[in-house]
Amino acid sequence: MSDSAGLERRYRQLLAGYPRAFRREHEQEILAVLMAGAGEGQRRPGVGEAANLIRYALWMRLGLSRGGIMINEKTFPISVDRPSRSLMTAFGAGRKAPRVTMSPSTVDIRMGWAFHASIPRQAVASARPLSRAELRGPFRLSVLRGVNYWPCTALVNGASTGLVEITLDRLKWVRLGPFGAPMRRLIVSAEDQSGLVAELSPSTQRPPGSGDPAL
Amino acid sequence: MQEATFLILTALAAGSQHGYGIITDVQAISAGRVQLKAGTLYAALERLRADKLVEVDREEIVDSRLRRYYRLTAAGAELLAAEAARLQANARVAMSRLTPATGVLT
Repeated sequence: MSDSAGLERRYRQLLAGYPRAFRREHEQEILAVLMAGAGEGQRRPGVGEAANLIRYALWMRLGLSRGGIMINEKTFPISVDRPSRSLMTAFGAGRKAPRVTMSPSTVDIRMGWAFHASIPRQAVASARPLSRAELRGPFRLSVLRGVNYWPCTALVNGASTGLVEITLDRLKWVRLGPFGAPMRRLIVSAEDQSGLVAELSPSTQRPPGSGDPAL
Repeated sequence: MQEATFLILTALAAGSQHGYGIITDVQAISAGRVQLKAGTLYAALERLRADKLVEVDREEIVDSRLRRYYRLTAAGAELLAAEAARLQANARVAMSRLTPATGVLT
């Protein structure tokens, strides 16, 4: 009996890593699953189980909790002009093309190891095409490529054309290489500029299941 | 679609199940090859719920522990059917090319 109480306490400690809202909703339920999966007389969480919990707790905290799931998605490649291709390779985005992926719930932007953001669709306040002339401040230089960051604004591009500006209604934590940073505005270069804007615009968001045969 | 997602949806296709039920069922469906961990399962369920492919069916308390049962939504069933058809079509082509002499599809 004391074995299982100790085990439960240790699982609880691991679950404490998850965001509070998720824990409130799921802690009891996950605990039940973990305890059901425990072996007779087991005192400590298995290494694999513990690592798995820590990993997903971290992912959820960073807002990256995609869990490797790809469903119902539309992908918009980030455009890369010829001179920037080697740069993309350096960013680890050569094989896995830099892209914006959209599911009914999430907008996911990735450029290799250099940039990753996972944003709830409700958090997208607006999206519009941006001309190069409008790039102000540190982004004025039209030669900038790759991942550039200025407080709360990120430029993630492989070209200086087809730019789309995405504004969020809140600050969102994103990953810049090994670091995290807050972001409110994101500028990407899209191969399909108007398509991306249309897909991102909150007014065109359909309720899931309506009219889309893929659903 | 990743295999784990496919197997979770498949586990729910025959009826609602709770978390541990899904884990054991996925293991059975995959002949022991895929052993879902709790962290993976709940990250997947969270995502599937957000995309309205899976929903909570009911909750029960068993041995003073919470069991939440999940079920497929109509959209989830449709997506699983489409994915299964795609896999089947691919498999059929693979099998037919591996037996070019007979062309027999088993």
